[in-house]
Amino acid sequence: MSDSDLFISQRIMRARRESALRKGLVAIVDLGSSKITCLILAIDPALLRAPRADGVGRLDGHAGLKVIGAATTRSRGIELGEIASMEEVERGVRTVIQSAQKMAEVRVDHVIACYSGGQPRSYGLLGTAEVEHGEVSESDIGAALADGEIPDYGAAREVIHALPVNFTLDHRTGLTDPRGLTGAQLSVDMHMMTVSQESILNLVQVMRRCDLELSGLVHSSYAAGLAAMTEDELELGGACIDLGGGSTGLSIFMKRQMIYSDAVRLGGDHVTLDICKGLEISAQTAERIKTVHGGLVATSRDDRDLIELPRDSNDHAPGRQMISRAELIGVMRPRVEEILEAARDRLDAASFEHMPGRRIVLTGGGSQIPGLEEIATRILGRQVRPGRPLRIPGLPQAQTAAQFSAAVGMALHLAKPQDECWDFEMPADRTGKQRIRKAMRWFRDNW
Amino acid sequence: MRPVKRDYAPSRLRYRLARWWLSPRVRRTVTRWVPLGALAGIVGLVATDPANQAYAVERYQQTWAYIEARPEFAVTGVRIDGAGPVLSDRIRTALAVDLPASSLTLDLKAARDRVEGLPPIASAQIAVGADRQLVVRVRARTPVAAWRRADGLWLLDAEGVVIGSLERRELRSDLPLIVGRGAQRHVREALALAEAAGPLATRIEGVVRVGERRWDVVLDDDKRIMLPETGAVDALMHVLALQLSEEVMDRDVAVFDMRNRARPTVRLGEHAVHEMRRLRAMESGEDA
Repeated sequence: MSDSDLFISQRIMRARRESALRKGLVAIVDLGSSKITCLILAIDPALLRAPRADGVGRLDGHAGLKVIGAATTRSRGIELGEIASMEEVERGVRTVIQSAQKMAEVRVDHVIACYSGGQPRSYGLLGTAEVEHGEVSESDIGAALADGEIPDYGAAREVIHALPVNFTLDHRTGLTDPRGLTGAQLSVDMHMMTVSQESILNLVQVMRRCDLELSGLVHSSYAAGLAAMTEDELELGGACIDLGGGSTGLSIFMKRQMIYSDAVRLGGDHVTLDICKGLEISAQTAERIKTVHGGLVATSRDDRDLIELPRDSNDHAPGRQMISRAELIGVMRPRVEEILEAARDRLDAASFEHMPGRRIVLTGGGSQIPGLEEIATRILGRQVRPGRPLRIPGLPQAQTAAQFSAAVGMALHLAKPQDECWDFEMPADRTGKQRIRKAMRWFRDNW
Repeated sequence: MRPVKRDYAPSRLRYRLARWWLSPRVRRTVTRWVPLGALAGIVGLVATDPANQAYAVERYQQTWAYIEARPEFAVTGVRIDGAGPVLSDRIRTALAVDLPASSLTLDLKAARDRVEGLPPIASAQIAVGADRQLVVRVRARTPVAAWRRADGLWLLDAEGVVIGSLERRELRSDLPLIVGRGAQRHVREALALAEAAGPLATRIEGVVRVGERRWDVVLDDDKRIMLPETGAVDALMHVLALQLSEEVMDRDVAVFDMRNRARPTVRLGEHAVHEMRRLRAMESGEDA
């Protein structure tokens, strides 16, 4: 894969999303391991690009969005964030799309999906270009973006996000938009994120089977970070840990840009499974006990708090089975600690401790376990806070909980995409040859 | 073993149907165009059946006849304003309306045209009044002159329209008499002459159009004042001034020719000619 292929693929992705935006109706589907959520957004493109009342910059994108339909169903066929059963996932997507459409009373054709699997990997890219006419123009930025040397990330992987993070102009770094500045050499730091190809193909296939067009793909760790972190945290730098059902997503933001992302293939389902095994109860019961009585920090009172375990209908033994809450905490805590430690290892690997802002936001369904904040502070050694998604217009109350961060984040990403740079023209000497080669390949493939 | 309970999901057909139903075009078609089309089809089928058409026409005519026959629309009489009894009879005849008639079927415009076609009528207004009378308001032409032609005596109004015949001149001796071909087109001029006559007014017998271009004023003793084509009234005033100062028309003058204003000419009567010759002879005799 060459540089300009990245350029072209990113531009195609962007163009697809823009065309969906122009249609004015986009469905957002979050394919999680424990639930599938769909939000239908009505988009006002004029408002999306409208300037602010005080004339400084643009309105925050979500002013132009409105959630007009929302539906959630229990997820099936998704394991560890990846599609394991095409049929079941298709049924789940059909369910949410149909009920969201019913609520919105419109038909949607364009879908933007997010998922947490695909074993994401982050790469940092550095591109350099000479500034041609003293002032940095869009073509200079295009040249710098095209110059970035793309690492060999393997054949069976695809780029899902590639965002310019930081521009450096003659030793002046930390620029977000160098257009119009004067300098000689422009370099750009890019963050590229790849996921496994078959996970994307599966997703495309699911949407095709539901008669939907997949016009955008976002990784849920990125989306959750966008929704759960505040403006200051995004600007100064911070990490978001999305404790999902099947996997735990990590994303580090700096200057509003994601600079690192990873996923731990451990999640709330593993906690449920531990309860299920440790207390010898069914998975559904275990899930219920976890959400109703679960906790992470035991006090002396918890020894006296007895929880009655519902009986399995096949079990004819007399008597009632009771456990104390301390026992439940004893089962849950090691697993949660394991997840957080794995997250800490990933953050350490990304040298998060050297970053200036070190706020960590916990979001996702798992972040609602009481006491998580306390042990997270101890394990991660940072300031930790639980995060809920930003409120966007029309979002139903039921969809404002922490587990909907990724869905809301996708809406924000849609409203304020940060990949405008790919619209900048690439230098002609790169495209021309590339186009001819592409045309040749097309002929070879099709004749 | 119990069957595994699966979560609910709409079947693929159901899902597709729901989406199909939600697409705006389908929805509009089904909720608007299909009912409209069905309605149009039914109406068309019913309307193209000849029996139905005949029935509809019959019903329409019946209803219309019923409405026409209502006493509220009946016109029972005619009232004529602005015309004398003789003219009223003529108007009644010209109206040719069978009473009582329904006001819905009366063709008032045609009736008005017929009434205005009568010579003595300048204009007419016809309306159905509140008391169910046909009100005819006419403006009759007023005769301003009598016109003698080879076929008799006619009354003219100011525009030269022949109103009717006059049996004897004495019946309307108040009107000036006009004679000559084309005189009816210059009635106003003739009237102006008759009016301007002043001291001669009682002696004027009539005005004669000569050669369809100029006027002669004829006095009762067959004296004649010949006037020019233009400025006829001024020329007559000139003659009147001479009459007042010299009593020229009381003398034995046959014709006073004013055709050339610069050179008024007098043709003497027969007696005056003899008298003048005698006087001239006397003068020459004395001289001789």
